[in-house]
Amino acid sequence: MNDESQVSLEDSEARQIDETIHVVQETIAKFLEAADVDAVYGKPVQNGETLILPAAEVLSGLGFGMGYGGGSEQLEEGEAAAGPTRRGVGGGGGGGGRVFSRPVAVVVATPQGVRVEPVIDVSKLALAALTAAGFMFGMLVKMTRLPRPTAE
Amino acid sequence: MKSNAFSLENRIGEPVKFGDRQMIPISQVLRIQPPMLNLGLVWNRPASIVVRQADGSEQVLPVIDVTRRYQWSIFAAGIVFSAFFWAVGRFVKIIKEKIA
Repeated sequence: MNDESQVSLEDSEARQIDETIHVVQETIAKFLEAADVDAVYGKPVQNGETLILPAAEVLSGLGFGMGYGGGSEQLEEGEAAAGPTRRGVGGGGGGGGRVFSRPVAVVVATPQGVRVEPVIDVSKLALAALTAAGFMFGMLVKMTRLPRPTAE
Repeated sequence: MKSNAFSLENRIGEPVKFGDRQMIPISQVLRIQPPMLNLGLVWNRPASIVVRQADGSEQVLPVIDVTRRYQWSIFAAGIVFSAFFWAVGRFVKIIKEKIA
């Protein structure tokens, strides 16, 4: 009985580890899909004699961690014969990830030729301009501020 | 299998046929996977389009991220102007001290 329960515990432990590794491998495979060319270039769209191929940049980040542990109850002398040793295993893990995507350009193919039309993100530029203006304003204020009166 | 912590490579996609032309998309992938840490980062961006004509001639069209270029230009301008204001402020302060 004692041996049987120990074997089943080891089996469940091994199964848990296998399942976790499987989940981790699947997640990594999905994460690595972001490195594929198809993730950057969309499906071509044809409209009459014009073919459009959208292009975007993809940034993907992933991180995870896991841990397992087990233990058994410390029995005092004489208790070992009374019953089976109590034993337990446990484990846990967690992770997170994020995928960012931003359109960069559109490839336009016509019978006359192929050209790359850039996609300009006005919101990003406005934010950058505000940040730069704030930085410059802060520097201006710092330069024009009167010196503090010294304590006498 | 040995894998590098950092890798930068160009990847070639499936050619897109359009009339008698072929367009071959190429992307640039930066991959960061520290070996002892369970984390990773993949940055994939369009690099260029190779247009292959029916006569076999090829033309490479770079895909430029205009938004990013403008963004860096604005940040650079902010830093340059701030440095200029700082230099002018220092100069004025030195002149005032000399006059006083």
